[in-house]
Amino acid sequence: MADRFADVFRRRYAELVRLAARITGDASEAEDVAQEALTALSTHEVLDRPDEEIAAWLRRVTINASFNRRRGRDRNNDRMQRSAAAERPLRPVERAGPQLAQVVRSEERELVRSALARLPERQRMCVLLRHSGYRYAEIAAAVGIAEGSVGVLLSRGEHAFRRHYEEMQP
Amino acid sequence: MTCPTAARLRAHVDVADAEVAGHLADCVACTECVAGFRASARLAATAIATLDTDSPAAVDVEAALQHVVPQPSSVSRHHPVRRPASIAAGVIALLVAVVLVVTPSGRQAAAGFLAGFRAEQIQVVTFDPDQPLVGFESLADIADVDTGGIEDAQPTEVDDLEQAADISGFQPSQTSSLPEGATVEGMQASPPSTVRLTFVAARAPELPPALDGAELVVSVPGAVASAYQVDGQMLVVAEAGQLTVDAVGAELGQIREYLLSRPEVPSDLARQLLAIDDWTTTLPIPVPVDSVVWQDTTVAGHPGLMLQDPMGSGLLWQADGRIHAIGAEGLDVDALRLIADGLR
Repeated sequence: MADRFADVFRRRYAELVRLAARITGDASEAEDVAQEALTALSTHEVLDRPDEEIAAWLRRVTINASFNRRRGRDRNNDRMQRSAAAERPLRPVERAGPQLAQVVRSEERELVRSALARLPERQRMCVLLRHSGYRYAEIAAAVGIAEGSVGVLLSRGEHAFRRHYEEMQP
Repeated sequence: MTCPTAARLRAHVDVADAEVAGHLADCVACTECVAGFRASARLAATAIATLDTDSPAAVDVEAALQHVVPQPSSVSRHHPVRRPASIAAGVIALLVAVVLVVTPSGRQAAAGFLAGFRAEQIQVVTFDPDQPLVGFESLADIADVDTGGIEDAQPTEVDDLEQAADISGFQPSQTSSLPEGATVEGMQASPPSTVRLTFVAARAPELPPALDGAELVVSVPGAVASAYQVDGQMLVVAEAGQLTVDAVGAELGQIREYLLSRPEVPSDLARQLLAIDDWTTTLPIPVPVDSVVWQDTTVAGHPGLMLQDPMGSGLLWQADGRIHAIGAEGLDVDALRLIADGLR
């Protein structure tokens, strides 16, 4: 079983880190999420199942864990901002040149993540996986639906994503 | 045909469905529906592709595995494994050249690019094929250059993957989904090598004192390329290990800043490289300006590039510490994606 786990770990770890990084926006945190997902796998009965089922399970756990972390971080940030606002007035941060461009890009990515986070879980998973290059069969397995249903959730998710994304544009 | 389900219409946006296409010719409502799906899908794809820049270029799988295995049930006690100090950077010119060479407009540029490739390992993002590129000659003005025999490490014809693995230093992927009728033309492999630059202040008065004696070590990976014929046109599937750059005796950032300030580096090129947010993990890819259309994409979940001109197309992506490239005449990107999906 240890060999089986090591084999899955080697084949899936980098993929899960990339998937988590898309949601968390932090490479180190993404590695943490991927390691947690794989650690959970080590004692889970799905480890006895075929490779495709294991991959689908890992993708689902990784995406959900990543969004959970993101929610927790957002709550902390809200608390900190409220606390800071109570202590002193906010001052504009001086930004210039490349730093400004970097901040704008970073804010753009956060906007994308926020729009994704607003989607219902299954739609979010379909949209994220599809636009990360996964095939319909892989998406269906990860979400736990029939392959023929992926298109419905995907179209609803993309429509909702577009609406949220455009609403949140500054 | 009655109107297809929304699921089938949406699937048609990704993979053309002949029956649906026929229906759309006569159904305004479904045509509008598909147009809406397509617009939303395009926006989502573009937006989500921006998230790739936060992905790590490489992860240390073995270190992470060692970290997890001893405590399989202690989720809360473990901490993420940080990426090694060794820095992934530079270029993978051989692979990019493979993509460019099979596109007619890229051939001329690729020839000039290859001639100067070895000196461009940490600098190129895009380049003007009409502009001379910095070469070993100019680097010899500021540093001792130990090429590690890279000039002699020419690609060797091999008979099979086993032989390719012996030369390249890694086990190449197998291709399981070639286009129908594809015939093998041949396979080549090149060995890994290491290039060392030791900066010498006596040769370059403008060299920052901190860099005198500092060493830049560029590990050029082994590579394997397989060529096929498909309907009389060329298809190349290539793969290489990870190119890494390390500095000894100075910060790599200092060396980078100095090299980018050198007059041999075109100002536009320097500007592009300096604008890379996380240059320590971003792999600059050389693409000839105005000759090849390119855009960011994902290949089976991995960040990559799509290159295209009227005669052919290419895909270039990183996966599991490897660089992959597929280039072909007469095949569109969707056909290349199928080949990419079949790599094992």
